[in-house]
Amino acid sequence: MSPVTAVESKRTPLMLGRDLARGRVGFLVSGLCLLFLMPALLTDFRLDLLAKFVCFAIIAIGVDIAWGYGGMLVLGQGVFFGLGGYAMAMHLKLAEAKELGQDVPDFMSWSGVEKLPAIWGPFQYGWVAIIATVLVPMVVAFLLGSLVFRRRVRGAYFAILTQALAAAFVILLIGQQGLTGGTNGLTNITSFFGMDLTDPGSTTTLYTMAVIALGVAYLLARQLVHSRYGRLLIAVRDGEDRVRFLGYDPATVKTIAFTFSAGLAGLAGALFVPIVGIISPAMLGIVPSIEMVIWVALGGRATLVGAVAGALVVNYAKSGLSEQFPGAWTYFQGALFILVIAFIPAGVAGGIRAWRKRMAEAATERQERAAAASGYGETRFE
Amino acid sequence: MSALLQLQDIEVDFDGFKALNGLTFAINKGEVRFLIGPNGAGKTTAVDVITSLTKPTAGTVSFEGEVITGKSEFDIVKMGIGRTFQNPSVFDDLTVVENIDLAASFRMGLRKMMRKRRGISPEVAEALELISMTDIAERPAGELSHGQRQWLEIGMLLAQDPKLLLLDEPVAGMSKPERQSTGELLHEIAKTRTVMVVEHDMEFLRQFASVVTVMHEGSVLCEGDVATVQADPTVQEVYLGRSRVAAEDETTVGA
Repeated sequence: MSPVTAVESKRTPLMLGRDLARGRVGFLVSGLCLLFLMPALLTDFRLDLLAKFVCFAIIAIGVDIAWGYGGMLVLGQGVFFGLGGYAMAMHLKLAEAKELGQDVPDFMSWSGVEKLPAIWGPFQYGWVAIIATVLVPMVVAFLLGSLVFRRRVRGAYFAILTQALAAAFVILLIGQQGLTGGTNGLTNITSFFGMDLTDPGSTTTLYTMAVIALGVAYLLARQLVHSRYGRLLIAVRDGEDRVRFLGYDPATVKTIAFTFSAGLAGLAGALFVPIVGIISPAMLGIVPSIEMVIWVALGGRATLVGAVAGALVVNYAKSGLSEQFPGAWTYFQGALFILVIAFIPAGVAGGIRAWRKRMAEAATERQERAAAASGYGETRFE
Repeated sequence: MSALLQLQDIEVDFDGFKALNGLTFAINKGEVRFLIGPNGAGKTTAVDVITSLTKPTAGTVSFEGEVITGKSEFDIVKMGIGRTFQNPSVFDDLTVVENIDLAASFRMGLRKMMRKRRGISPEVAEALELISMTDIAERPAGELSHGQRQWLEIGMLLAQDPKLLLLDEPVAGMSKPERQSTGELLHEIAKTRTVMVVEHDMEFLRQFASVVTVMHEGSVLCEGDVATVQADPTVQEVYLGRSRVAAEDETTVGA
């Protein structure tokens, strides 16, 4: 019997655990916990924080697809997060202005803008805004990806390019005070499609929406990863030039993953805005964009569970530590990042996976040795 | 009958060094062509030019009568030319069967690509069987030995089902028994396909070649069946690095 079939046929408790974590049971249990247990256990303040982290987890799934599986180090996901967030916030500000009987949102009149800028026009309609939150980031990523991947921009060059994009986007937003609210961003968002955001009850609703969105994002990403395309994406990550000789265009493969990751970041931005009530350039610049990659690096790249857990745990630790020791977080995050990269470069989930694999191999080896020993015994007695 | 593949006056200039210099040869359908020559003769460069990894500075490559120079690597694969690499470059994080399945799926539409692979398709199963890897199909390719990786490369090429197979030193770094079984595999493959092999191993060549093209300094030195090429004194001179006189002596003795 080959070692491979041995691993498949023998069910050790370890394997069962893996099945649970990987299969539907794990997904359902964690989904139910998030949906029902957390709202019952946490105060509104904590639940609001968790809702925010759930949004970040959606971003992390996208980063994991692009970077963990596709090898594209995306250092500018803040741009797509921001595009989604601004698209949603623009609609909410317009709806608010309409409610108050004003032509333009409050911040515009403060800057002396009296006529609604053309780009804001379509965002009066809720459905336009909702579609735009996902579609605009995807279109931007698709165009950018089509341009750069075909020219074989990759590795550090691609990372720097996306980072520069994040910087440029922030500069653009800050420079257009009358159009975007400048440094302050779009603030004081108090209602969301008729729901009063100052009402404590709204927290649970928004939280539930975010969790459902996370679940959908996870399932989509899972489907993508396990499909033939997912295998191809890994192949492109590990040997882009070789993939060309298998008859595939790596530029197309990468553009799809990049576009998908941008769509998720946009979705997260759209959910983030009603939860936090504000979107500003500080939330989507270079530093936040790098943090998005850190969540995935710590949690474990190329494992979806790792990406989600990384975003949730790192942000939980961040808010906890910031409450205790303001200012210490940045150092702590840096140290954590260095430790993980130095000792478990595949991230926590990746490390666990490697450890499990070693354990399973050792178990198989023991079984084979035992089988071999008993085999010899039989021959001797016969 | 027009040739399956035609290289016409190919020139490749690497910063002043002419790797290929007026290379012209043709391969007919059904041949097992061996491309030999001393180190630096431009054998691998010729394969690179055919598959568009290297763009020629002059000359054209045609396949089934159509000029393919300047096309992208993946378009050339789609037209039906597949290759292996000297250093096996399989995907370590994928299993054996996943590697082969990817090679077999490049004609698939995007929508089908987005679905999970269910089971093993007949083409993939056949390739697995031919390279004797059915038993280890679920193993990560990263765990394979060098020889097995070479075979996996060949298996991927078979699953691609090209009209022309280019094998770049398929037995390099293999042990003697491995060479023998690779030769048998090649023999099996060549029954129904057109193959071009870049190889150093003369023993291997004698056993399996139908036509041999000898390259020297970027162009064709001589071409013919194994016996003709071996008897050619200029081939012996450049390929074996002997003086013409010595080579002639040897031929006389051999005869």
